[in-house]
Amino acid sequence: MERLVKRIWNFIISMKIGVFLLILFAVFSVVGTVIPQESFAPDKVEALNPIWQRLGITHLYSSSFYRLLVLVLCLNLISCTIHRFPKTLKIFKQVPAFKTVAQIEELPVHHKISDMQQSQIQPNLKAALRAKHFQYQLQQKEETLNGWAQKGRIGVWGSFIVHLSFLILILGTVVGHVSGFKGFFATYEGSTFPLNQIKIEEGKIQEDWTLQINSATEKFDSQGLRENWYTDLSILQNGKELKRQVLSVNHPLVYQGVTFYQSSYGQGALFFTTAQGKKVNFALQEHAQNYFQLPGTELYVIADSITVSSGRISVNYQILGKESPTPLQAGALNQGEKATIPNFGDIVLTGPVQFTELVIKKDPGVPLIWLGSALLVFGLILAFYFKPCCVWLGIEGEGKSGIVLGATSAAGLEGAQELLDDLVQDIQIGPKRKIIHGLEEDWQN
Amino acid sequence: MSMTQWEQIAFYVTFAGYFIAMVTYILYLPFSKQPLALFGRYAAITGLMANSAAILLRMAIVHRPPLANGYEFILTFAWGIVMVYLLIENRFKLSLGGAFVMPSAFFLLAFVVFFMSGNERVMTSIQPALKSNWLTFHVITAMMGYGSLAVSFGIGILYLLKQRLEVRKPQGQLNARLPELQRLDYLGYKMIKLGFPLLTLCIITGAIWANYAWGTYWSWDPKETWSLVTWIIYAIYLHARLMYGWKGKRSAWLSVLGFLAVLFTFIGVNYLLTGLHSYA
Repeated sequence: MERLVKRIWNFIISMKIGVFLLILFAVFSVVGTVIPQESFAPDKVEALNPIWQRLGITHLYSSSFYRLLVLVLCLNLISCTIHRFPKTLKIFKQVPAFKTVAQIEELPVHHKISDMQQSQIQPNLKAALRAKHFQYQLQQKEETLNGWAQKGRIGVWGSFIVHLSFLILILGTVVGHVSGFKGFFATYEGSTFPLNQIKIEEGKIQEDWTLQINSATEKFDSQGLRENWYTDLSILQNGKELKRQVLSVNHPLVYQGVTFYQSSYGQGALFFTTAQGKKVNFALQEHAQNYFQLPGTELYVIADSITVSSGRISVNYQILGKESPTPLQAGALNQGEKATIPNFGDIVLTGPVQFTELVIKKDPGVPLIWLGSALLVFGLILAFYFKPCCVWLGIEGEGKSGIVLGATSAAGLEGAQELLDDLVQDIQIGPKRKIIHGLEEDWQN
Repeated sequence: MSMTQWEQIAFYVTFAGYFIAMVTYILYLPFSKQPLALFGRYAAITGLMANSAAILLRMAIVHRPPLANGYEFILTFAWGIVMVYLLIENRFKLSLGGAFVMPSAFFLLAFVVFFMSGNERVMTSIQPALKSNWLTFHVITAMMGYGSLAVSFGIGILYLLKQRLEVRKPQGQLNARLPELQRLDYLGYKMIKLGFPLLTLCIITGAIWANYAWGTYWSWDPKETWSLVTWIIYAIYLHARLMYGWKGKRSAWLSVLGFLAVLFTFIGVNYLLTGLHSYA
């Protein structure tokens, strides 16, 4: 049993499985870009064979098997991270042991400087190590000098942090899905409505707020090019204004973790009708982007097209029944005119109105996403630019002319060779001195 | 002459400069004449200067960074490739790499000349969502990252060529002039080491910008998805290299594949797939 558990564990933590899962993840992701997705091309999805929809290919990124794949990838990441931690800590804490000249010469990357005197080598060596930010230790025993120098130890955490950052990113996504919500609404200036009336794609709105659109405007710059769309939005609770702000694209309104984003903007037509003796305003967007249900009926009004000329509006409207595929009534209205709807009453076209389209979102996972992103970049920098490396040096013999150097690096043999070549050059000609406040650095001491 | 006309002239000087550089660097492969390499370098520098002028002129005309449509981004992408290449050529004395890197920059501009309609190149009103500093960071990181990856692609091709010559014409003149396989492999890795964090930053800055603009940091738009796929290809390259010692031929092929994914993300997605990135 123990052996089986160990085998399963070794299988899960295997890098091969991780790479295989990454390839699988990439392949599925590509499939989702080739097969039309419901979120981007619903019309193309409808034209496909329904089998694609049943298999979940047309909503691939939210399908069960895609989530399962992410889960397995996550398990691999977690197990790799756990497995790696003790080893990483051990390497991080490890202090290099001294090596004899013979041992140094056995290293795949080593070099001997034989034409320099000790009086020259030692100061140049120490200066070069200091200039390159090495931590070093030298040990003098009679005729022998041994030493080691190392740097970039923090780099051992790079890979660990990168893997950890992915777990945080996935956690952020899960938190957002579980405890957040997202919705979209289009409304006209002057309208007031409860927040929980907004249709949301996922999650549930808990906030007991009312929204008021004070104004919706579109601004143009001096060249006549669109500058931005602006919505003056108030958040109310029991008639009291909690927050008011003009939001625009790239400048969202954030209140108590709920964010309102300006998404789009459009022209609309404002109507009024009378229901139970009360005047009711409603607004329609063109191309039937929204509808209004006439109070107490199963009739719906839509605006097929809207034209505004010299500030006056004309609307081609249609009346639809709940189960009628064709319009029950259609006609054209100019500003100020009314249309009589059988079995209901009149609707009156008041004038043009500005529509604002907003996205509302609450995503408590976003801070985790930014944390994960920052850690990812930090981890990559550590992994690539703080490669742990170690240099050993040894001087033996009575004459003590020359020195043997050897190097190892997490960047591989090429990295070790590059490091050693650089160091040898500095020892032979002395490191470039820094100029601080116009004075040349004194590294002899 | 208007600034728009100057910008067009700068664009065509860039196009000509990169073309001449590409041809000269290619000729430098069989004809080992140092003046050819030097001429190619000067042509690339001239093209780069004209490319910089075209970018600056467009900025002066539109009063914003030139990052709002495919044409403007190709202009900056080509600049990134040539800039990174010239720096690398200077640092590592790798003139032979020009024959494999300059075509990427040239063919990007050729795409503009031969396949992009006039409407796609004109300065139009940009979407409000594009007026964000995050977009600038997003595109700058993409430009430098893609530039580095383009150079790694060129070095990868150079590696594969050298490897073939080692087998077929080991005594050949060209083979003798090409850097050692190990050196090419290491240089290619260095370029990916530079490009990969930049690609990561590009994806992250894009996510931050999208979150500000549309309230969603990731929407599985084909461009986003392909950039992730590209990222995964390079992640596999790094894992395979560091954990399994995948070097040489396999690494070179992966760097070629990675850059093909970059090109598809950059151009293919816009023309072949449906999504949000309609502007670039």
